[in-house]
Amino acid sequence: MAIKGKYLGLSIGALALATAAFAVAQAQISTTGTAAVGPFTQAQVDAGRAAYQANCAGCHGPALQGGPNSTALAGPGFLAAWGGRSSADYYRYVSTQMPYGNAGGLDPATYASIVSYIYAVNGSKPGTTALTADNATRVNTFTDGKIVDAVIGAQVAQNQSAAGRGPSGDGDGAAPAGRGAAAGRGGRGAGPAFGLTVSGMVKNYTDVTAEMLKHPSDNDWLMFRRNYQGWSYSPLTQITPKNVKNLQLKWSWAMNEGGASQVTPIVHNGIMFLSNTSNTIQALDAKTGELIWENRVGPAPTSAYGGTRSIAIYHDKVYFASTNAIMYALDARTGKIVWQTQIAGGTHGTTGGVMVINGKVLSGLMGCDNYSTEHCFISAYDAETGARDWKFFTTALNGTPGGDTWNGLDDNFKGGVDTWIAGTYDPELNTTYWGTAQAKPWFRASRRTFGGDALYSVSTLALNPDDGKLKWYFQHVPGESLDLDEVFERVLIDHGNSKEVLTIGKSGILWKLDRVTGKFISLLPTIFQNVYSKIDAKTGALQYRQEIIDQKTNQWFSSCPSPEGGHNWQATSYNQPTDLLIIPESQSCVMITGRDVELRLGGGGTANSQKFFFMPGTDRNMGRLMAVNTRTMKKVWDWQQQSPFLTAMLTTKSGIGFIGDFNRVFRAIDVKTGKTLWQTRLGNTAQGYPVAFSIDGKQYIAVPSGLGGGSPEQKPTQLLQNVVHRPATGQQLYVFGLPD
Amino acid sequence: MPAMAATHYTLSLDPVAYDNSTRDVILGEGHVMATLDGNTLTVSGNFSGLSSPATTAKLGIGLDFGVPATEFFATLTPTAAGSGSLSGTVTLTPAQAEALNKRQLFLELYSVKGTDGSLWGWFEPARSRVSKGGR
Repeated sequence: MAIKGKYLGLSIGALALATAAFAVAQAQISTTGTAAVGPFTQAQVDAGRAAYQANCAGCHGPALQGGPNSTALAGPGFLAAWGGRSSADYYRYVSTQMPYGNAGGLDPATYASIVSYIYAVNGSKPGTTALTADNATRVNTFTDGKIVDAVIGAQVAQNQSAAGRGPSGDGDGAAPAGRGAAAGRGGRGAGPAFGLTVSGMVKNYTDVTAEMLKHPSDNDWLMFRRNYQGWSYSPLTQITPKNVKNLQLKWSWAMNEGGASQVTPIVHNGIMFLSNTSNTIQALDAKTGELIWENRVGPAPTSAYGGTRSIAIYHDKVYFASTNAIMYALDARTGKIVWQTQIAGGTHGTTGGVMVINGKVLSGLMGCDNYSTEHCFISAYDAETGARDWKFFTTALNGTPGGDTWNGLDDNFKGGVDTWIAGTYDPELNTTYWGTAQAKPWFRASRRTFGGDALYSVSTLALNPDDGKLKWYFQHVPGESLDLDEVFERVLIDHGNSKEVLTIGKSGILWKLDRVTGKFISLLPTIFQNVYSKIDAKTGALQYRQEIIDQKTNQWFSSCPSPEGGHNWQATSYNQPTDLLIIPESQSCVMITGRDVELRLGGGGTANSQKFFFMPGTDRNMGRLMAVNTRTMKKVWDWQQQSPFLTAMLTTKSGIGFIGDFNRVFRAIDVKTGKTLWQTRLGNTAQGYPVAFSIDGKQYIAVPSGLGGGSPEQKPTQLLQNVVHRPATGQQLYVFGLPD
Repeated sequence: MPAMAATHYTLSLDPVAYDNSTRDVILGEGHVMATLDGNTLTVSGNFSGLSSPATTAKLGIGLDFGVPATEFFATLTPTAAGSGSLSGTVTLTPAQAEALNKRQLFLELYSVKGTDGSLWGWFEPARSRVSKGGR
């Protein structure tokens, strides 16, 4: 919601935009609610409309529909959550907990107007008495949850959307997360206009060939997980278990504040290409930290999620998919835009990064929470021209295979199944592997699929990258219902002639499939869970606890793990010499309930409420690190700590692993034992994807710190609030190396 | 027949599930030990850091470890303060004893402000935990 500092300009801009829209739309806006007269006035509603758009719409959506990490504020879900409580309760909640990142930061009159506006959207008619903080009237006596579009003002919503809301969250939380939204003060984010803000030329740039992508130089980190197989493994050996204690900071770079930063630096031939929030791409000298060029493509974020996790490089171009779902190709030498193609419109966005295969740029899609005529898909674009080559719909459409697994829903009301983590690729099989998120709304009772599988949610997809045709799929949890999705990295490993794909999702179950056929091979539950009453290790079939199968909306369930997941976007690393997969894990639980939703375009969302608690049996340790032998699928070592890990794992051929956590610790571990060999403290949460690279014979380790995000930020922010204290800013890149 | 050895259990009292609207009220921690000797469960523990004085503690059976009970079969009386102790002896039915061994036996501590619960936990057999690593 309201964001100070850097966001101030944006907020004022948004407010001006909204105000202009009101001037046009004012005549059409009237209160046509069907519920009773409420304890507020028309003037408050009008003021609240502007205040809402300026302070709340970034997270909750311009039409109050909610977002990936925020609840809907209109409709039956709102009524279920607040209808039985007093207006004073609701006012107190809003005025003490919102806007996110600036809780309590608005004046009382503004809070009252926002609450009045929300009541009016939910069907209440304005009266003659102004709303006060202490009004004890029960909310469902004057609202009915029937959304009054005219009060929202469609034109406002459209304008807000066009203004570039960055909708693409982590798809894994129910409320604005972390302290990231507060991270809007000062820094580079507030200043320059959008565009090519720093001009420069990368000298001696060498094109990245298709062969380089298949067999990258040891010195480079050319893609999301470094190789097509998704290993997050570097063959570099200069930094060893013996000398790692001598690591020192070589350079650091302050990154844009605001939004969510979960970045992967890409390094090629001594140049680092770095994505910042506000859809800003920079080229830096990776040895010195000197900025070469910067393109602030925009738009700026208006919420604390939607981090761009990775970009891609191929030939002479850098590719990134923006938070408002536009694919861009930049000239790698100069940063100038070469082409751009709209991936999707509306509230869609992209966060999971892109990958290049056979001259095509592939991208997933986010923001599929809300009902849309565009549906959700993976798509590919010609790397030279930007022309779209193909689309694969991840929500199986009616009349196509799997389209009948949604309990008869119209295609426009098949929500979710986002792809927010880039895929992997087997060049020999010419197959790309992607994970998919859950169907939306989260609860099957909310989305009305009930016993339907809702294909291709929570699945591993094997696609032909040339035409997007589905080779096979494996649905890990048919009809998933608790936001425990399986969207994360697919790791390709060979054991002799066995070609395997491994993945671990929020349930904390490590899966091994035959990547030629999609056949289930084995699984390993790695963390406590209480949502499945039966896990069949021979077939991979899971069975929910009976009360989850029998669910009704507005019924509370315990879910361990929580949507933070046993595992989340903090990717694993496959250390080839030891055959170990090292897995960052999280331990938390929620009480969670699914809300009712209306089947209306723009509606839907995640439609849930959550309350958080520590995972029992963990002694309040939220972070856990585990190594699994991928041939035997047996645990080799594990340990836990108070703070969860907010970076991916990185390992090297020399037997070192690097990982960072919520409490700002960045450490090196011995891959074989898990023991800490070295650690340092960053300015803020270590968050993103650490990488290794080498320049002029010298090895470096880069790690970002950052804020913002969904459940992985939200849960520890809530549960560790009294023991872990973090600054409100600090999105930064740190580069370490051995002494010269 | 030789007498069955008593079995020991532990329970960590953690804050009940909370959200933004209750985060300032749901505070505290505690630890409870229990011994099952025959069908007699002896419970003793302590707690601290509540935001208001404790009022009562209840034992119930959840559907699983980590699933709170909705019905209760016994009540314990804690110290009427933000920090204190609780203890008691309860005779378990066979079903309750089975639930204890399945980690379903659930304890919830209530307080003046935490009328829907302040702290909760599930009994587990006394055992070694995952090793502690970082900070």
